[in-house]
Amino acid sequence: MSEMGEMGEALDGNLDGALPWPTMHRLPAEVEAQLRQHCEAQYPLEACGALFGQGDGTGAAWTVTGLRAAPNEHGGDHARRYLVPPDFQLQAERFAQATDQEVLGYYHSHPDHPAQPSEYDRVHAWFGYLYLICAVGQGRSAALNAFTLDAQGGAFVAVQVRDPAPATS
Amino acid sequence: MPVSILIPTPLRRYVGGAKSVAVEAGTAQAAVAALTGQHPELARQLLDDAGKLRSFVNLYLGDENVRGLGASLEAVALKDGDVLTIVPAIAGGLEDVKLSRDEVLRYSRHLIMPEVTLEGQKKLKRAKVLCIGAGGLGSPLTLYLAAAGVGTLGVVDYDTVDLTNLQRQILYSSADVGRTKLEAAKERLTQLNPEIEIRTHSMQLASWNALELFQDYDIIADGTDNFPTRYLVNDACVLLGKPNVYASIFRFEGQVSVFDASRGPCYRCMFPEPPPAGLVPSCAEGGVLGVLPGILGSLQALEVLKLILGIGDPLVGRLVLFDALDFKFRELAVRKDPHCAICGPEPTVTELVDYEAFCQIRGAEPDDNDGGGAPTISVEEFHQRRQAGEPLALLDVRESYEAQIAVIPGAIRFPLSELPGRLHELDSADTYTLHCHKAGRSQEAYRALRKAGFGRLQILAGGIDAWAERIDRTLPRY
Repeated sequence: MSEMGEMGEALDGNLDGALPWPTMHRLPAEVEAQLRQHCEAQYPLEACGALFGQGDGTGAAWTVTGLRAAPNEHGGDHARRYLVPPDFQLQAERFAQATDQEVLGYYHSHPDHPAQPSEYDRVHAWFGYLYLICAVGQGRSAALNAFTLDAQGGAFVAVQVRDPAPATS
Repeated sequence: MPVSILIPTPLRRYVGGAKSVAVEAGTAQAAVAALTGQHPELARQLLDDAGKLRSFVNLYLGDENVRGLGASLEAVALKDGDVLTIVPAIAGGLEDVKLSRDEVLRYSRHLIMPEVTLEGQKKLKRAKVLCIGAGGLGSPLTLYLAAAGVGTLGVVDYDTVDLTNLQRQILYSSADVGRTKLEAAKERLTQLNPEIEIRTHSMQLASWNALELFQDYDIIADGTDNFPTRYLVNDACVLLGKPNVYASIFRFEGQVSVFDASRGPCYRCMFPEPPPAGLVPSCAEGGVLGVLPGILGSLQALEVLKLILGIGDPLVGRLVLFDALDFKFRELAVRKDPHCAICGPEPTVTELVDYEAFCQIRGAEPDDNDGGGAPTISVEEFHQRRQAGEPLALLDVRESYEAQIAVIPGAIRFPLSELPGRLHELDSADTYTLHCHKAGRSQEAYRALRKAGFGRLQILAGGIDAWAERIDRTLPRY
């Protein structure tokens, strides 16, 4: 495992090196709690919503400061699919502009399924947004994972989000 | 006509970071053309090959989605100061999978259970599970997961099938001895269920490859037999937010749990530090009852299926111990450690480390062939000198049940467990050569005898195993 040192430096918090820059994203505990609550409330249907906050222009350090739940308008199977209504997105963009924030990305839930992006998620994703996926098993929220699309737009890359102010400090 | 176009976050990188771009245009179509003309990179994102706005891109004029009007963008006239907003569609969700007629029949005993049903079976088909190790635990684990219809089953191993494996590794048959485990496993699992995808990963799992490998799977099932890999699997799962279904076995005992740091403790919460190197012997050193991995590996498969189906109460925060001799299951509560080095709120481990160093086993393998500091003698030299008539006293420190399998002729039986009470039988002025199965216990005996004042000691490198391999090939190896 002599490669460890080099890898550690090259990765620098970025899980598999597929993003050309180190990333450090922040998600306050209270926003995470809201997100989990929404995902649990929508169970067994998929929940989705927008994430607001501050970007740094490079996509390396996003700070999520709030969220807004969206109605899930997918015409077909609500337990498996979601579509954020474009009208909701327009409102979200306007809200972000009015409050000097950015729409950093979107979250959705995977009812009774792991918090891993599906092929359908990937095909419909945009490079430059932060995607949070929350697994909800039997109505209880479980793993919450964060992803961005790689620069080629070909694959999801797991990124880490941390609470900027842990309760113990 | 001067109008402005608002650009959403992910597209701003193509317009130099601007939130809004001003263009001169009389229609919505002309505005899009002017925008993409100024920023060709953006054209690739917004327009299809025919130069039309892609179906998953919405365009708003004020509060109205002009896409939704049904008219072409050319018909949407703009006034001075109008504001257009580009809104990329946000959608996602899970794949729809279908079961073939054969699959419905194959899984019919699942489908008729209200806790599973067709929906549950589809979850199994969508699931991707990675099994670390295709040995004693991995055998029942992969067999049951394949049989149950887990759609993508990954297996990591780099070993070949050995005759000593067959006493418990039911994935393999006698004809497989000498083949790689992955080749034999893939063949067997495909025979069992040709409907699923078996992915084989021929590699030694390490810090530099674990995250990339785990990334593609939903659930990791750890069936390894050593501490460095166990900590590596745990840490990679915590970093990636994936559940780790864990089991381990030793002789007549086993343990099983589910580590999912997002809702419970991880392996480090339970064992922050590995045990001292050599304290806990492996199955190769301590032995294991053949059926035991069958029981524990099956329990692992059960927990994997429950996690995928989202049914029942998973073994999160609970460690189940099984004692086969007493036939007792005991359950211990495992709490999340608020100071856990990796899953606590202030982690000190934020990337994968060197786990062999962490477990302090590098260069000090308890069962390797060198004497670990003690003077050694090769089996060849020992044999030659004894043949030449040198009176060399050889102490066999193995236990009596091992002597029933094989002995080196002329060795004095001196089991390690009896050593303290029998020191008076030896003379500290004499020279003794120590041997065990390989070399681990000889070192312990060496240390004990050194403490007791014996100065002329050496270890037979490689033990009776090396003797049976290189000097007397009629002796059975074990």
